[in-house]
Amino acid sequence: MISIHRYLIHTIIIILLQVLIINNIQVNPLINPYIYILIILVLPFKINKTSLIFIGFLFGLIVDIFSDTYGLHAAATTLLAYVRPNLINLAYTKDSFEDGSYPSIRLMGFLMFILYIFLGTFVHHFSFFLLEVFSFNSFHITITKILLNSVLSSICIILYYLIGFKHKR
Amino acid sequence: MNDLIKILFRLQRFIIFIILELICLYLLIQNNNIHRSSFLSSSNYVSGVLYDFKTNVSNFLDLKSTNKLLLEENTRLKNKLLLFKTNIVDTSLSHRSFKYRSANVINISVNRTKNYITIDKGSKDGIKPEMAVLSHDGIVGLVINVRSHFSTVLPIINPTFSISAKIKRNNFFGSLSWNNKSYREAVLKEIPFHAKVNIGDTIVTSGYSSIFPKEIKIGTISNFQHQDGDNFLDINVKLIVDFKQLKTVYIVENLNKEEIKTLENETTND
Repeated sequence: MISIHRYLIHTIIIILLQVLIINNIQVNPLINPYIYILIILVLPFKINKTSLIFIGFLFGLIVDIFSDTYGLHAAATTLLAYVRPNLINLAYTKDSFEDGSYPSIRLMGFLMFILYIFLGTFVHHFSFFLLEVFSFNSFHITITKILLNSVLSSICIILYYLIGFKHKR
Repeated sequence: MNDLIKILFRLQRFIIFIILELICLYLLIQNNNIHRSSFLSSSNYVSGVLYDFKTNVSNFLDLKSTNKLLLEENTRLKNKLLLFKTNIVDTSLSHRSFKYRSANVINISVNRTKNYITIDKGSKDGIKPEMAVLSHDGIVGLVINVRSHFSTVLPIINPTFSISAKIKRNNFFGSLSWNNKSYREAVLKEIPFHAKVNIGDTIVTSGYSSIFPKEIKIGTISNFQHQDGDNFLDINVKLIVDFKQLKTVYIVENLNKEEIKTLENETTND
């Protein structure tokens, strides 16, 4: 169970981390991981599916404002929020959810959690990088970007999760 | 009718999803226009203030190297001043055609498909769209969006940017744009294949524009090739401005721009 203000604090930390630090680490033109989608991935199981889409859209729009990309992040996060229930069905097979429980290593198991994070990241990055170039020219570069960054973002997201989302025992 | 409403209700999640995606696509496509709507750009106040803070911190850490650069520029200018010491009549203010203003870079991207720069001067400081932006080395880009305290700049490293450029040694001119890959390289097109070109030649602005001053450095030729049957050379240019190091820029206003524009319009209307 995560209270709503803990979600808000994590949201602010992650957005600042993304726009002020990660977007400025420019090792290689191919590499730019996006970790802010973690917030959408760890919202509670029982959240209303329609409001989830709106949250995804708003969240992407905030990142857009900071990175001058006008709807690019928003399009990708809206898609992620739309398919999230299907991803959860895939990775977490139990029928009933406790109130306020959220996708976590404790509930899903380590492997299933990694699979869930990777699939979510892949959906987001796939739509994001395709929309960014807006064409199928030089598709091999785009697909390299998608795969490379999906792996990298997943690793960063799981690291942040392990540090930031310790549950109380 | 009832069935229709039921179906719509069952599909509400999908419909909302589609509507939101269409809004995103609309924003995205509008963004392709150079004079795009600026209400979501990073020249808006909140993100402007945040980036300003970030720049203050990083500028403080770079004070030493900035000081060194300024000193070097100062010495260079002082040396030039000596040459003009003999002038008695000061015509520099009444006859000048370009006005320079300085600004700090507060946000820049270099490895996106479309890169932009945000600077900390806006309409309150007299900045207008379509003013040239230079660094102390050479051309940076062009102001596109202006708010009261901040503006966005379209740099050379954006696919929509192109500029008329010439080879300084022999005055052949062509159009220069980004190669869409590395932030250090651009391509120069429309140079005929009989032009004598050497690696290392300097590329400067041609001055055939009411925006950019004449003979400002853009970069040097890093390599070139001529494909059989093509009338033009493919020239790769190494840009002189290192966008990763960019901290301060000069915004250049052409004071004769209106006059040039009116004159050109009158001529084409005849």
